[in-house]
Amino acid sequence: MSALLEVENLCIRYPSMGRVRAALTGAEREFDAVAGVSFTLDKGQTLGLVGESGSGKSTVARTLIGLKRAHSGTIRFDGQDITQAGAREYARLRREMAIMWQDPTGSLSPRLTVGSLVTEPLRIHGKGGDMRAEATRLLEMVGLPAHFASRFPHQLSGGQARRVGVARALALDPRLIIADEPTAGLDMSVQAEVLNLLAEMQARLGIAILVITHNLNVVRHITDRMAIMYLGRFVEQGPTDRIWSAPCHPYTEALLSANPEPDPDAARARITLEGEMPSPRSRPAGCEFHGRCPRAREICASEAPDVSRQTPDHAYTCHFPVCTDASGG
Amino acid sequence: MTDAPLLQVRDLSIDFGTPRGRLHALRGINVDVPKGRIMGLVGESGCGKSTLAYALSGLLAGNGQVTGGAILMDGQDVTKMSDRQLRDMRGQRVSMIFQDPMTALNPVITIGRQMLDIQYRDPGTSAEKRARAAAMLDRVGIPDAAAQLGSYPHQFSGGMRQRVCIAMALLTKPDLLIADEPTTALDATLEVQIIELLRELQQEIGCAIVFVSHHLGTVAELCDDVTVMYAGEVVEQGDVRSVFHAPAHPYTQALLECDPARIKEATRHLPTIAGTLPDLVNVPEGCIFAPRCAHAWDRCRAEHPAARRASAHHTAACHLLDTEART
Repeated sequence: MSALLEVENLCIRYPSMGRVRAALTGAEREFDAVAGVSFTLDKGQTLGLVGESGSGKSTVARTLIGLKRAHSGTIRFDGQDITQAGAREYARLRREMAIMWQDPTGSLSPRLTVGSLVTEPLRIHGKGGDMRAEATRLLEMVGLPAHFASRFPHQLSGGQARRVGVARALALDPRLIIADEPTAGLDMSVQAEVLNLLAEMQARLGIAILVITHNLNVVRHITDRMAIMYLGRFVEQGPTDRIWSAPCHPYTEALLSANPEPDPDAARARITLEGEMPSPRSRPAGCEFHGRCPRAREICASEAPDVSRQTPDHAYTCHFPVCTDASGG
Repeated sequence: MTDAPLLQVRDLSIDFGTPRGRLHALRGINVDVPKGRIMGLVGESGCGKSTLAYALSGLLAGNGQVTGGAILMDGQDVTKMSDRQLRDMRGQRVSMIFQDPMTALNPVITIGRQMLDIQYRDPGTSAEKRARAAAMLDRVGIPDAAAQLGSYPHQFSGGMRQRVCIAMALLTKPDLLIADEPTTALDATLEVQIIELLRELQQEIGCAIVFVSHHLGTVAELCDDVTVMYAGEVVEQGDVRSVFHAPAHPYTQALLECDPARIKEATRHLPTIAGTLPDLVNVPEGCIFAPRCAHAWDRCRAEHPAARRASAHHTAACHLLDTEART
């Protein structure tokens, strides 16, 4: 078995109103931000979680590292269910998972130097040793000169702050890195630098990476598999190149078409979706995407589609998938 | 179109006062925007594209100072206008859409009130202005527009707020719309909607647009012309087809190469632009891109390149184009 992270039927709920109001109105106090998500991440592999704002992708990340409790479902890391693990056990497992936060500068304490920032995980987990040497080693790994150790976060550019984030994530020699929007707010050329760095670290150290992003280009070049989230559920999941070349779900197809090439003469088959993502507090009946779907028919409004499989490792949930068109279905 | 361009930026230079000294943010900028054309302004962070956009509508930050050149709107120099003249120009002939649709609207005033206020110079009763506002909201795709006039900005989603901002900006039928990264804060599927809306409205109203963006794909899709900026200078400009199909400046070439949307085959190693932006307090001699340029030679480090014709429809500031001197 080579699975490092196995998530099964994960549900995460947020409260939408106070207890009193819920008691008075008799309404459901909580809503599902993530409603039954399952995926497996193998050792040394990369999985991309793609979705727009509010799809629940960051909530999944927060639950994986223990900042939010799962309502139901299991999360197994290396065979062990972390939703059931005790505090001490969890602390041990947590050491093997690192996170890179969305806001590169905001996630670094402004009062600490880069040197203490990158070695902070070592101190938290009680690892001794020569911190200065460790800092130098980590900074070199991510391509920053050793003298950066004495700098403060406000003296870093966006790309440099990202590199510090990577160094911090690598400090405890983790087996899994969760990268939440690793390139948000970066210029193209700097984005490429950060992605190259992640790919290089993975190749060198065999780390598994879970990339959470809304940017399809990020997913395309560095992930083996990808999952597309909509309203807290996966609408499609499979090998990245397969989904890229032959998406099944109309939402995936629309997202891919919204990724324009910088060529004024490129054939543009842009699919414009009507409206916006509904609120997870009031989920539409039937297929939750039907209100925006260009292919929706009657049945979509009443009956939720089951999970179908295009190939054993490529799953989607849609009554009228795009991919069957080509095969004459 | 033979008459003079709507907007002419001539040799514009802008400095910012900083604790380290004067930062030369824009140097010798020349840009023309003809009537009814869409001009894309692209470049990476720190290239000065937003500074230029703000300067066009006279909204430069307090520590910014125009040290040379002119911005001519229909022949009138924006940099020399009094506050009163600027006020006359803004909202009437020049409108702006900002990157963040939340902070662009006043959170404690209803959408309807804000849309009435913006028409303060227009004739008509407030009932007429209200009707005009509702019609415009309807036009930009806000459902149940008349009822929404009583809503506050926080009651709209990000995409809807940007639609409200567009409605407000176009309500007075300006000659020039300046859009500063209007889709950067939005999701991909909403970006598509906004770009389509902008294009439709531009055709209806016939205004010129200066579209500031770092997203080359969107520029290719929406714009007629493009101006590529690097570290406070224009490095290449012209017809969007010529520039994107046959980029002449090494920076434009590198920028296009870095765009992952252009790379057909999946790869684990993406192209980057080595090096960092130059220090704009002590601007180096010669070509501003020379330290990062793979083609740079002695002349690039000594002499600042002038804009030269790169094709029938575009120019670039690069010594490589000076074929006579190159033998």
